[in-house]
Amino acid sequence: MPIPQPFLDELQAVVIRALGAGATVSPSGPGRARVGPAAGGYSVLVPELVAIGGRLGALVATDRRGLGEGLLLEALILFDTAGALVEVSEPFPGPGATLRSITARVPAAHWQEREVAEMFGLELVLHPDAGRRLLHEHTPPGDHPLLRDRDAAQRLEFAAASPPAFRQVRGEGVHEIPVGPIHAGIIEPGHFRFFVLGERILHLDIRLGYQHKGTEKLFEGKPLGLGVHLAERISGDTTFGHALAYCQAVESLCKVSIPARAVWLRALALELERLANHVGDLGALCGDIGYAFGASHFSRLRGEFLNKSELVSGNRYLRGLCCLGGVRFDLEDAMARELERWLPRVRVDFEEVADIALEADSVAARFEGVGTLSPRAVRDLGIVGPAARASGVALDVRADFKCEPYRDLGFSPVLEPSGDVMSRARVRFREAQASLEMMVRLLASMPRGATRAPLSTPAPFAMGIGHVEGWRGEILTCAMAGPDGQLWRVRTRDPSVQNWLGLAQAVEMNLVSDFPLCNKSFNLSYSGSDL
Amino acid sequence: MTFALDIGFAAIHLALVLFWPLVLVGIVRRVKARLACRRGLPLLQELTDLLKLFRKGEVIPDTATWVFRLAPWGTWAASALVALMVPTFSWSVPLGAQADFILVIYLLGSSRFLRNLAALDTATAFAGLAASRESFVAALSEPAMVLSLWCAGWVAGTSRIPEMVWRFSEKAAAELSPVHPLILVALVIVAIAENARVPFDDPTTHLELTMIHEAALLEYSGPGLALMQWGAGLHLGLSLALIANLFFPIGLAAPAELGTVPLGLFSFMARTSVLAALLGVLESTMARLRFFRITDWLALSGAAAVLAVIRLVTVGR
Amino acid sequence: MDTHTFSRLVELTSYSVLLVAVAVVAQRNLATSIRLLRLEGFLLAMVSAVIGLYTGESHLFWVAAITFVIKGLAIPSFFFHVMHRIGLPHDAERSLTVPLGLMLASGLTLVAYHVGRPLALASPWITRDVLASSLGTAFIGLSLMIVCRKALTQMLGFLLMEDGIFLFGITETYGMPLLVELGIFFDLIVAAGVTGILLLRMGGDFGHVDVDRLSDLRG
Repeated sequence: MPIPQPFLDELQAVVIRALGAGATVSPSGPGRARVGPAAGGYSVLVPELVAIGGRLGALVATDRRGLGEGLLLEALILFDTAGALVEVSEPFPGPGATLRSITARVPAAHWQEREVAEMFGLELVLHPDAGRRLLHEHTPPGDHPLLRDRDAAQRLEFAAASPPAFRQVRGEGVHEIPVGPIHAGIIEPGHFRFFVLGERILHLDIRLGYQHKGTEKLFEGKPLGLGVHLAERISGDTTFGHALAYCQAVESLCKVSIPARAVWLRALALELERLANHVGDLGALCGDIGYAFGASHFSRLRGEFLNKSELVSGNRYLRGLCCLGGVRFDLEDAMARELERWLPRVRVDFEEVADIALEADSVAARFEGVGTLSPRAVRDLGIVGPAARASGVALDVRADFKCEPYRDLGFSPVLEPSGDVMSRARVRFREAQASLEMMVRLLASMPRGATRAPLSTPAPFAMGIGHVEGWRGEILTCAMAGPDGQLWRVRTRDPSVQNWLGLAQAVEMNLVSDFPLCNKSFNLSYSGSDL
Repeated sequence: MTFALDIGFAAIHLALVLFWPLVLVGIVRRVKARLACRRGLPLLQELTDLLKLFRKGEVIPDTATWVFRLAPWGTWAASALVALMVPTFSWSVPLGAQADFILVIYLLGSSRFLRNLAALDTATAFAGLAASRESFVAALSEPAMVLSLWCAGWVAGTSRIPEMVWRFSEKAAAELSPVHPLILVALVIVAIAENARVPFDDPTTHLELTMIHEAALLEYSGPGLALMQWGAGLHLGLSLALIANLFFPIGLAAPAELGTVPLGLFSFMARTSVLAALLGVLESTMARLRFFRITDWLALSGAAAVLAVIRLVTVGR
Repeated sequence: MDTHTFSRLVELTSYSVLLVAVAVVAQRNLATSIRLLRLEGFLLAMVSAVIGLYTGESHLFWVAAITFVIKGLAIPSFFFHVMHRIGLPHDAERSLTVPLGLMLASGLTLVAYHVGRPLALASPWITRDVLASSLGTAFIGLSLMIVCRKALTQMLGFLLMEDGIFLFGITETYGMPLLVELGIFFDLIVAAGVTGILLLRMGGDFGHVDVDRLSDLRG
């Protein structure tokens, strides 16, 4: 879809106001526009773009010193109502240069700015909370893993360091509860520091990074095809979403057009993943409040969706289905018939369980009015996915960016107004319903033909972008290839990176004993945000 | 001969109070599992778990003092002592003469006090939170418990629990006082709250931040944990026994009459099993309350007890 | 049925009626409150039937049946219907917290006992001890009408009060003439119907059912 001309004109005006007369906006692909590298292209222009309705998507830094340049920081700004993606960039001479933070004006940049500064050795100034995010205090000061001259095989040294400084909340009766990074359940590691007054949470500091695996560094130098497998492992519950975002990024780099049947099959798998996770989340929400009926029946239903994922792809988590240029396995007619027979049945079953569970008085008493996130916080922090839609903010890549096949199937995003745990539960319930409906339509309108297109050689150092509405929210993946045709840099922004701060906001002034429930209602990935 | 019979009765009572609660815990779990379409654990799983824990080593936090070591024994002993005062299959109990309801309530209170002390002793954030929450619940539930047992005692004309059971069981159902529904509701709510069951607490949760009772036990392992869990089991068992015998005293065995023992045993097991199963059903169909909503329910139990007191004071038995 | 069993049975039921009224006060959830009201209806039907059995007055069975149908089935289902139609929130707003409300309820019951004592001593019937609990139920209903802000919960209070008065009437007279009972039932239906229709209109026109806000001027 081309960007509408009036919108481009408005954009041009803002860019000239921010950067001076020389700066221009040029279309760089379907739905994409870019502003050339310029001083202030990040620190001055991004707040202006956000002020006219832009949303900070991903920050992508690249080390171009080998190409005779310095470091380049690109920001992807999304205009959801116009369905446009604008790339802006600012060059830096090299590690040690000063990066002026925009977090004070664009809180959505909070975590990604710190990440960029740590990984590329930029000095972050004017940031309200410049503490370590991924590489904790014990990382040696000069070690910046994503600089290209740092060997991927070299392990991170462990230097003795002072314990992390947390924000201090003082006052009579304020009590501090440290939780994690090792938890009682089988969940990922993260440290939560609560400052509570009695049972009420005054402030929550979330510290992640315990699962930093160097995923972005691992992508470097890999063949394009191998990158799919790595992308599938970014966050285990979003296997297909991440694989699809990566494939889209590489495909846009290679300018391949995907056969319609493959597009349809990918959407089918994406909805199947959404169903399994949304239904699983509903069960987990019930489990957290000790509501055994909901917990057991939703997990039973989740099993059904996982089994059908196995039917479609041979793997319960849809591993290995997505591949560059399309999908690896076609959906046989017999399977399609089985799915068509199964869908109405499971829908009745699911709606019956959800009707009982979400209408139960004792459940409503726990879900309603708890962990409320305001629409303003959603916009400021750049919250995405069901968490944003539960606060009444219509953000859904499937609808906003008119992507195939949703454009043709009449998809509209599910919204709930109140922003509390009940809203997030109801968004999941209704999105699961919508996904079931989508699957029926996808099966009915499934085009015939090939399921895979051959790949051409990628243009070196160009940026391909993958943009997918995963079950947890918008996944942005940027891929660049080197002159040898191998991956040169891959950056993935999991929705969790944005939403963790939303969780910290939502639990403020709630009861400590309601935190696990709020946490589950967001259900964020640690692995995806730690990369 | 009578002496031997007494010893026999005491032995049966002892076996029943110490081990039958473990089966009751199993019944609650089995009912919950069945309602969730699962097969569930064997009924004696709790016993197996305890035996395993007793064989294991124990890890004691560096910050803990003798209080931490003493607490499991203390809480278990206090619960066991109460178990010797609450009738089971017969109204005769080993410590019948001492079984004043005030003493029972204080023994249970001291068991909880020791547990909270041990929780504070470890100086971990969760245990401190648990101690504070448990004291909050106890402060609200104890008045209701005192008042309702006082009413039962007033109606029966005695302050000793075995005698109350005897009075209620001898008379016909029509003799039950009209305040009985009030006391029953009050005691049931208190029993659910004090045993840390849904909707007040969730014994199966792994989320430390939501725990009330379980968080106090987080630092325990091996035999210490076993005693704590057994103590909790005893508490559940004697709560169910108290409710079953005060309100549904059917088929109790008479002391020194050997022939009534089988019926007494069967009736006690059946009545407590039914109560345990009802608890399982309640836990399956209801979600936990929000923490501060606990006050509403405990206030209801308190109000029910107060109404019973008003009735008894103004109208009499 | 012998006299003793009869009086104990009636008294037992009347305390259950009082307990359910207290439970309504302790309940912030609207749907549960309506369910408790239904239970109240069943208990009252039971009392009528028991008195009918004891006195042998056949028209009391009619009263029991009508109570069962109207108080136990019709009015609660109608309220559920209204609740779903206007999408009321689950929580019933009260101007008192639950523990305070319960203290008030206990206090009112105490008052009922003291007010009712001389009356009860003068009463010729053996079920005179029920007098206080029925008065208590009526008082609790009245207090609910005062502390509730929403029209539906005020109606709940009214019905509780009516339940208390019904219990009072039937245990103190062992059955009024059927015509009087019918008149009361008719009254009740009209009251519930009018409130329901008012609620539906309020919900439809203003988007809320808060009676306090009815006094705001719209312009």
